[in-house]
Amino acid sequence: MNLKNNYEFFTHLLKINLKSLTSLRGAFLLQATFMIINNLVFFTMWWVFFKKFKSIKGWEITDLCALYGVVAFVFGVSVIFFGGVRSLAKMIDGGDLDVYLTQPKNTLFYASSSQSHASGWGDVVSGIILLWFSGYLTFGSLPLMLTVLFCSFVVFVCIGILFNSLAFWMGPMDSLARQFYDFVVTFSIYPQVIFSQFLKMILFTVIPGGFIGHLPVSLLREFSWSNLGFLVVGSAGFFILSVVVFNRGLKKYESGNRFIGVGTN
Amino acid sequence: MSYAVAVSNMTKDFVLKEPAKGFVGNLKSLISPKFNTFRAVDNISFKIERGERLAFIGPNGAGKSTSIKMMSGILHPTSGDISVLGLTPGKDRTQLGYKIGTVFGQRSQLWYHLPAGDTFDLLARVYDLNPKAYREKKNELVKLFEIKHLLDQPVRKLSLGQRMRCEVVASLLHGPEIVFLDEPTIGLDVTAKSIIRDLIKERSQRFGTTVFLTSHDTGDMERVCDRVIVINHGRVLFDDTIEKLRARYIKKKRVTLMTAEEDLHFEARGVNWLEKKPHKFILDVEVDKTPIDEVIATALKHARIRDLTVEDPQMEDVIKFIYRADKE
Repeated sequence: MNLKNNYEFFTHLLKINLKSLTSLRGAFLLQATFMIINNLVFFTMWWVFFKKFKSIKGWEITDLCALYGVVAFVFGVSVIFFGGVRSLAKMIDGGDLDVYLTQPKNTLFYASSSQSHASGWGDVVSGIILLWFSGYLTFGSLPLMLTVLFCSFVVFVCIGILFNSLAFWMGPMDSLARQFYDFVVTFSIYPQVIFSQFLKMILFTVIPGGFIGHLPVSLLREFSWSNLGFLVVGSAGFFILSVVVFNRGLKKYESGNRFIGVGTN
Repeated sequence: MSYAVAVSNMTKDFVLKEPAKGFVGNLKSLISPKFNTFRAVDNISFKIERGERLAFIGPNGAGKSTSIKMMSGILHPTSGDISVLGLTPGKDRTQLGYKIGTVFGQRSQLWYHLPAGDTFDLLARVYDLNPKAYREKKNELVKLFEIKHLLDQPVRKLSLGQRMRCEVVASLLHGPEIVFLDEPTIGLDVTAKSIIRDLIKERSQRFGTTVFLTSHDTGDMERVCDRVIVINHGRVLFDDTIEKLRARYIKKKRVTLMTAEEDLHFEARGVNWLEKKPHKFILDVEVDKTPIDEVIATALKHARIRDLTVEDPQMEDVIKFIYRADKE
């Protein structure tokens, strides 16, 4: 009953988010379209690069295409389903969690999924296009593809929660959290073969871009149980850590009196 | 007897960074900031019976909102015990969520870009309401609060009064046992205030809902509640019935008269003339010495009244009366 109710609640929340987005139809279409163009134009830089060089330490244009595809898709899905994560620091600092705290649903889940960003639809479409062109999106690889995308998605959402939850202790750090977030995206879209061992370690811990882009694509290139285990354990670790940190922080929540309504960004 | 709310020695401290002065001070504060502790709520204790309507009033910054946030599970108290419907708000927040309704005058639970009806449908899922029971409850509240014509309009296009009626409906959809209202009439005009107050009282009387209302407007307390707690600087100054507060401290009303005649003057016990302008007169009336109706009747003997307003004293004045009475 509880699971069924929560499922109904989540699907209704998605419906209402989509309705809220499409209530401003022009803005929705423009944002989604421009994001598709933005992602595809950005990728042409690599296309130009690979016209001159065949590969970077074994990584070819199809691999980069898959890397961009995974990151764009995961970014898109996360801001569509959990768009509130990007605003958590602002909500914490402005006291906007009050509404969620007085209602009988999980605060983190409710606050995170109460916003959706139109640009995410553009990311999802461009992600699918890039994955399709990479050649890794085949019927046979679908279970593995979905598994790595899901793990990457979990890590991506969870690091957003972690960065933004720092606002419980550090106060107004909305823009800093966004910068961290963008930092992770930037490091996700480069093949980690170009980095030193030390930097690689950073990219699987402090700035875990490696879990979002490199490791999922490595698994698509060459499957190994150990890498899959590393990805699954890593994503589960980030999930637990983000929930624990958020709930710890909630005890330090100080509310506020900023006048704002639900669904505004 | 089980109480709806039982609060014992509730205290809340906030740690605030000391503001630095000047450029050098700001740089120093960046490296070694100084913090001060500010006590927003200071050792408050009280109990509320089920079905009681209690006004928690005080001037701005008195600690009203902090108290209501601790009782509704938003904030954790620094020390003290809170029990709401037998639950501990900070610990049993999910369970408590099903039993309480909240309205924050300065914060909305309605989706800004969507019609209020969409938020109501979402709340039915939030509170796991049976679809048929939800429809019946919604229809009943929509009719009572006269918001049928507002249900299809985006919330961003509603007036403050219209939005507040929708907010109250949203808080009552799941039939809460206790409703916490934090400044529900803030910013509303006289008519909208009156509608909101009457509807809250009607719901409480009909279903035995406990009402905990914070306000800095004495009118909210007089028209909705039976009991009042006055707080200032986080401490309880008064805890008794509205009648006793009125008898002891709210002895004055401010009357503004607009007359057809240019001049007006009369003498009566407890009447103090504050302002005299052509056609407009403002006077303070000590109602225990001369009732308002007598003052108006006397004024009518001397002039034709074109307009008339009777106002309650400001919350700050009530607090002053209480302090003065305590000293005496």
